[in-house]
Amino acid sequence: MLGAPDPGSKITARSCPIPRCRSESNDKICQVTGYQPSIRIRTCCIICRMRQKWQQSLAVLKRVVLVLFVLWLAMSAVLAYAMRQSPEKFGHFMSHMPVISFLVLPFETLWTDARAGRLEVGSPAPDFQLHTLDKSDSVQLSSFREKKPVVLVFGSYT
Amino acid sequence: MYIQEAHPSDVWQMQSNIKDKVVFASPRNLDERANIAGSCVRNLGIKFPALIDDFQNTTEVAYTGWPDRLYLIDVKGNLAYKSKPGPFGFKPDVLGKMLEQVAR
Repeated sequence: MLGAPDPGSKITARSCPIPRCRSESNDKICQVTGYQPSIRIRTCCIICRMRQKWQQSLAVLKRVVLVLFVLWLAMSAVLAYAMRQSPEKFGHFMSHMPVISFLVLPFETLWTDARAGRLEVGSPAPDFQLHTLDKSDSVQLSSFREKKPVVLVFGSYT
Repeated sequence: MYIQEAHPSDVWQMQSNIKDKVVFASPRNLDERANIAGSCVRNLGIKFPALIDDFQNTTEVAYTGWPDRLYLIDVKGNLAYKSKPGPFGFKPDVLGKMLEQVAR
């Protein structure tokens, strides 16, 4: 009869821990691997066990990925909130963030959104009057109207 | 337009600034800000006029200029170009192209 178990095999269909592998006769097909019992029972059980371990690992991996994703979302939300605070508060917050956060979190996207501002191209530029560096003169933005375009470069030394 | 410091040593010190020996604590008044601005202009060889924002950062808030940003205002007084916030959006070459268009 095909599929007769190897008399020397230590693992038989009846001793396989997978319930579906247990069978009264040897001509039934394993419900787990789909293999006919013409292969050695031991091999079939090994395949069953490997599949079982893989499925368990996959389940763990899915949970880990889900946790990491939720953590990533939470960190992104915290970062987005911090970006909307004053520069001092934001600076203090960032001074405690690891460098890897710049790579893992969507920093540029969140920053562009947080610092978008209210001004739009085409809208009137807010007027201002400020002193020059040496305080020898003051400059009013509106004085350049109808004369020449103006470039504003906002920045600091640090 | 010299504004609030981006990386003062007492708030968010950057290693690159330490390497470049640009280490300044947050200025406590307008005079201290002006001193740092003066160092910036001298050491970087900035030729165009530098203005200092008031200590309440009024202009920076109106333009959302922190930490750095570029604007182009046309002769009618309207915004012709507004860069994305720095450092990512600070692109002088893009500003240059916009300036050429406005100047025509």
